[in-house]
Formats: sequence, structure tokens, C-alpha cells
Amino acid sequence: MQGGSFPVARDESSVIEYGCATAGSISESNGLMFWLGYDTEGVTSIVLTEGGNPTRVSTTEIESLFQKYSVVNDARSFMYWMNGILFYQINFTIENASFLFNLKTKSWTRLVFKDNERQRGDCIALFNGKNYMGDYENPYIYDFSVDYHTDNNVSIKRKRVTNVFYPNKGQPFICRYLRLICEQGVGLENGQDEIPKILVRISRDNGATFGNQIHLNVGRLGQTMIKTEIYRLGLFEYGSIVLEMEFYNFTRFNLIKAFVEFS
Amino acid sequence: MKVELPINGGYEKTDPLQFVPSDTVNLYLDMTPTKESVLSSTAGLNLENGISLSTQGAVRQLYSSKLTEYLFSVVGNIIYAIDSGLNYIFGIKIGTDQGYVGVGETVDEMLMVDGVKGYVINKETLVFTEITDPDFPSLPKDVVAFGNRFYVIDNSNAYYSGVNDGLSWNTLNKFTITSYPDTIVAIKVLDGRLYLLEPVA
Repeated sequence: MQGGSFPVARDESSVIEYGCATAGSISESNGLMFWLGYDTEGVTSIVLTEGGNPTRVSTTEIESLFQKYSVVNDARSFMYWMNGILFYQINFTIENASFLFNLKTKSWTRLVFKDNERQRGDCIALFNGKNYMGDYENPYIYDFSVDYHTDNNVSIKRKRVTNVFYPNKGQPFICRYLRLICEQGVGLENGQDEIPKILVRISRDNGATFGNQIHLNVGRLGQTMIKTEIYRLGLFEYGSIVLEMEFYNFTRFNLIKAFVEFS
Repeated sequence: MKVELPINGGYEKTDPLQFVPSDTVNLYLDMTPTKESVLSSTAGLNLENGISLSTQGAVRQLYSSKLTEYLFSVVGNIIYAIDSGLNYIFGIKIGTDQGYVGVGETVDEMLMVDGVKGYVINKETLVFTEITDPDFPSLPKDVVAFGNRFYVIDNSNAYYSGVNDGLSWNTLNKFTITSYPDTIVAIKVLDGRLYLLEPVA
């Protein structure tokens, strides 16, 4: 630094070897700071520091998406606590994409509004014990909570595509049934969400293509003994299975595990 | 034979998909106390229990002041103060209606910059004032409070305010990065240190 008598002095030990794409990508909370950075090789990634050397927290898959983006300096980010977990969210408006990083499990999630739009929020603040989120297009400040199962009465698309499994060590198998273990009995008292359903599609070619959608009942309100199962799935000639599960109901959704029985 | 499929995980999708098709949308991966993984619903939005403002434009900034009972919001080109009953009070009209807004807070004041001008909010009186000191940076990009002063950056320098006074600036009270000079992108405080961030490592 240069100049006269300063209230601050340079600390040579605190040089961070990561550039920053834009101020809007920086978020700080609980002694942590995230931003969209560039390393000395020019790779765009999300980095995290507690004051010392930053670490990359984005995966190579997310970074490969960033490399394809034409604009990243419109990024906006924020951090918040929800259900005892600290999250970092970053949004790209021109690229219409949002990502959420979970600091507890160090995992990433895509966030979408409607089918494939970026999530609505561009800023957040904890006020009156609640999280309030500001809309990126409209003058709306939402109450933001896991107690709400819609985006202001717009259905939230929840989706999971699994990794490729080889239940029979890569050998062909005949699947007798698939059972999903999820939270049951969460249907609404009446209306179209009285009987929530998981929409399942199955891939037999490592996720390249999927078959027809099958609707699986997860139970009316209080109905917690439903078998969320598909029977007689037939031959898996290439020995692999991938599941795609979607959920659109205005209710809570928790997906726990799945079992297959095969021969 | 019955086997469990470990279905839970995050977004890991590769190109080509056949390597790793794993995708997770609007679900987050959590771990139960018994070390079982679960995918749970991300949070939703509710406007009925929020605020719909009459100003046109996006919500550019929300800031919950540590030492007042107000939530401060920049919506379009207006700064509002919002009380605990979610009633909003017009603060001041600012010169821009889009883009990043930086916020800093000292014990007595808040300072917001919108890339063109700076605005000081007296937290006790709730008076909103545009900074007209000619020594205030002409293109203020970001601001933090550090100690009892505000620090504001433009593309080249960081400037600091008078003690406990965001309306008082002196053009000589500035510093810059000499080791790796480049455009300054942001200024932040972390772990008791002030950081200036540049675009390139």
C-alpha cells in the first residue's frame, strides 16, 4: 500500500492467490467467505476461505459449466442457515442458473424455478427470526422457509437422477421389484396433492435414455404404510440401472433409499 | 437377491452422461444422526408473509442491521427501511435502478454504494443522506466498515472515511495495491483483516 498515515497496514502473510470475478459473488458468514474465483491457471471455481489459503469447493463438473458461460460477472450470492445447515447459493441471471452448496455434506444442488429457470432470490437477510429473500426481477421480498413447499404457489420441481448401479456386478439381471423408501403420509387433506406421487423413469443404458414415466403413490395424509414399489421391471441386458425420480406436489418430500430384488 | 441402491447424492453430472448422470434439483443432501443419507426438500417462497413493494424493479440488496430494529432494502432505485411489522418507510431515491449495491455498517451509521454514489443512513434518526463531499470516490463499487471507519473502493484505490462519519472524506486518505496492481473488484473484512480483491490471481 502507498500513502501517508494509515489506520491500516499491509499484512504480507494474508495474500490470497485467487482472483475474484465479481463483488456480487462474495458471501461471508460465520468466519467463512466464498467467492467466484480464478486460480493462477485461469480456472473459474467457487472458493472458500476462513482467512487463510482458500480451497476450491466447486466440483470439476460445475467448473466445466462455468467455463461454458458467456457471462459470469452478473453472479449474485448469499449464505443462510436452514435446518441447522449453512448454505451458500450463487445465481447467474444471464445464464439462467442457480447452485446451492451444503456446508454440512459438502455437496452441490441445482436450484430451479418452474422447469429450468434460475431460482428467484438474489439476496437474503435474517430478520425477526426469519429468512427474507429478495426477488431478482420483481419488488418482492419473500418469507423463505422449508415450511413452504411451493415457490409462492408455483410447484417446485424436485428431481434426483442417480449414478449408474451395477447390482449384479455388471452381469445382466432380471429385476423383480424396485422399492423406494421415502417419507410417507404427507398428502394434503384434499385437492390434487391429496395423494402425492413420485414420477419414476428407469434407464437401462447408463442414463443415456429413460423409459416411460411410472407414478408411485407415497401415501395420503397419515398413510405411512404404503409400498412405493414397481414390480416386474424385466431384463437389464447391460447389467446397469439408473433411476430418475421427480416430485411436483405441494407437500414435503424426503427421499431416503431404494432397494432392488433381482435374479 | 436384494440389494440397496445408494440413490442419494448431489449434482455431479458429467459429459458424457454415461460416466456420471447424477443430478439433484431442489433437494439437498443431508445426513441423519445414524449416518443415513437423505435427500430433503429445499426451502420454498411465500409472498403472503413477505412484502410486495410498489417500486418497479428487482430487490438489489437486503440488509438486517445489527443495531437497529429495521431491515434495509434496495428495490429498484429506492432504499427502504422495513420495521418488524413489515411496514416499509421510504428512505431515499438513488441514482441507479439495477446492479450490485454494497453495504457497510458502523455503530452509528450504514453506508450503501451503488457504483455511482454513496448514501449514509443515520441509524438513530433514520435520516438518509446522499454523500456530496467532493472527495468521496466518484465511482464507488463496494464498501465495508472496519473499526470505526468506512472503506470504499473504486477501480484503483481504497478510500477511508472520517472516524464514525460516512459523510466526511479526504481525497488523500486512500491506498492501493502495489504488489500486483490491477482493477479492484471488491473490499471485504474477514477474521479481523481487510481484503482487497482483484480479478486475476
